[in-house]
Amino acid sequence: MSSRNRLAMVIASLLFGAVLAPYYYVALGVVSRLTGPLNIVVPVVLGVSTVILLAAFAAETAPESWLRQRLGRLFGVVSAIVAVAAFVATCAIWDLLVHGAIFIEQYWFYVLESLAIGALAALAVVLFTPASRLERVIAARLSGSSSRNAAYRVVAWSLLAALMVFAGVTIYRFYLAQHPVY
Amino acid sequence: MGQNTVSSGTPNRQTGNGPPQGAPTPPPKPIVTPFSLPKLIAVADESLDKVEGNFQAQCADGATRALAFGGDITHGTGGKVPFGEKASDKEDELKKKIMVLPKSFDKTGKAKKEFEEFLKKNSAQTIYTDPDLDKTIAGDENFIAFSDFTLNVPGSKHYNAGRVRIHQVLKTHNWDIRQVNPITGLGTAAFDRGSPVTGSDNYGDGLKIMIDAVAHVLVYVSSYVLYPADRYEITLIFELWDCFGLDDEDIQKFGYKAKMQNQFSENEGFTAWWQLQHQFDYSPLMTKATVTRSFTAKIDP
Repeated sequence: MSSRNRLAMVIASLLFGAVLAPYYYVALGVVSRLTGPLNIVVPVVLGVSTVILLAAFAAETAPESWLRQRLGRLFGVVSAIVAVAAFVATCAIWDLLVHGAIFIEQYWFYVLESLAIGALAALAVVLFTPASRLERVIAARLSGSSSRNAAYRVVAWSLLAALMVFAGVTIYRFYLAQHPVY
Repeated sequence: MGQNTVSSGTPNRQTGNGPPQGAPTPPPKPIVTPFSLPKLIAVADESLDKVEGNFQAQCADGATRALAFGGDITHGTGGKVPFGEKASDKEDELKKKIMVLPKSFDKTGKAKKEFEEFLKKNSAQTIYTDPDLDKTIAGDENFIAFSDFTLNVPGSKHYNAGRVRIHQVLKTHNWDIRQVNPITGLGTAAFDRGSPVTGSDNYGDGLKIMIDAVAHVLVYVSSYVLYPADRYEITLIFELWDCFGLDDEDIQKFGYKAKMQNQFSENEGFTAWWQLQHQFDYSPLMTKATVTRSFTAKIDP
């Protein structure tokens, strides 16, 4: 692990965490409270999206190799579109399930809460398994001494810092809002 | 009010009833202020954009007060669901759909009892009380903070030096409770602790769905004993009044107009509640909770 880029590990954990975050609400039974066809559509789309994203982020699988051979140069474009679509679907379902709490006056707190739980679960796996494809891709951009690598590092640290500040402000507002001054 | 201050008597040195010369002076005896009825001492009201109706409340001090409410107190037929979609056109279906709310937001069964009372279709606001609700409120962290702050004793957990509350007004009147006029302008208590995601605290004990922010809190004193040397003991009765009904803003936040527009059974439940109240003339209930707390506070110079 000492040879791995720690910043890349953290960012990979956050991205894996975003994939896992909706399952926090699934575990709390929010899906069962959906009305109409969404009761079936949501778990199916979420499950398919998760499989696609985990496959795309983790490592090359046998179906992927087979598809790569069949599609040739087109594979790169198709796989990127499918992965982006799966990520967008995951985020949309995540948003929907957060609203399942109904009294959701502090929306961003609950988004961050589920992201934190997902990212911590992902980090536990990232720490004790070989580097995933996602982590290697991120590490390749963050390591090295070129000006481009330096720029990526600045962007990565800036995003992490912004996330920390946003989380701090959100947590502060959450607890302040729950303790009114009489 | 029929209250008289009864002094149990300080020693009368002139008549020789006091302690002998040189003996230590005994502490002054306690002064008990008797109340034939509780005395109103503080009022907390929720701020309203527009008053839509009043409820004539028979209060603990024997007086009748007009408590102001917003659109949540109104009811009738022919109301148009704000922003559109209905949960159903059939009264029986609405009555089924509303019952998802106590199931989702109360693990104790208190809210179910109040919803069942609401579904009896009263023609006018009737007062709803429940001893279990009183007990839950008495132990609630936000209520304890509210009641502590109503007294506002220096050094207490929720003391706020910037606010004038019962303790400060008593001090101004030389600890004579008979001189104190009711304090107004307090912010009301709100039961919004916990997580709507996991159903913890007020999202699981029924207080969020049954009350949320309390419309009016009337605070009475029922007992007051002053120990002039160092402290006083006071018993306060907190009377909480809240309308168990919905207005258009509620439907926007939790019902049809909520972001996910009836995608969850709870969104439907809120819309069903609004429809029963404003289209099928189910009168909202007037929830009344009463909690008594006693305090002992040091007299500061």
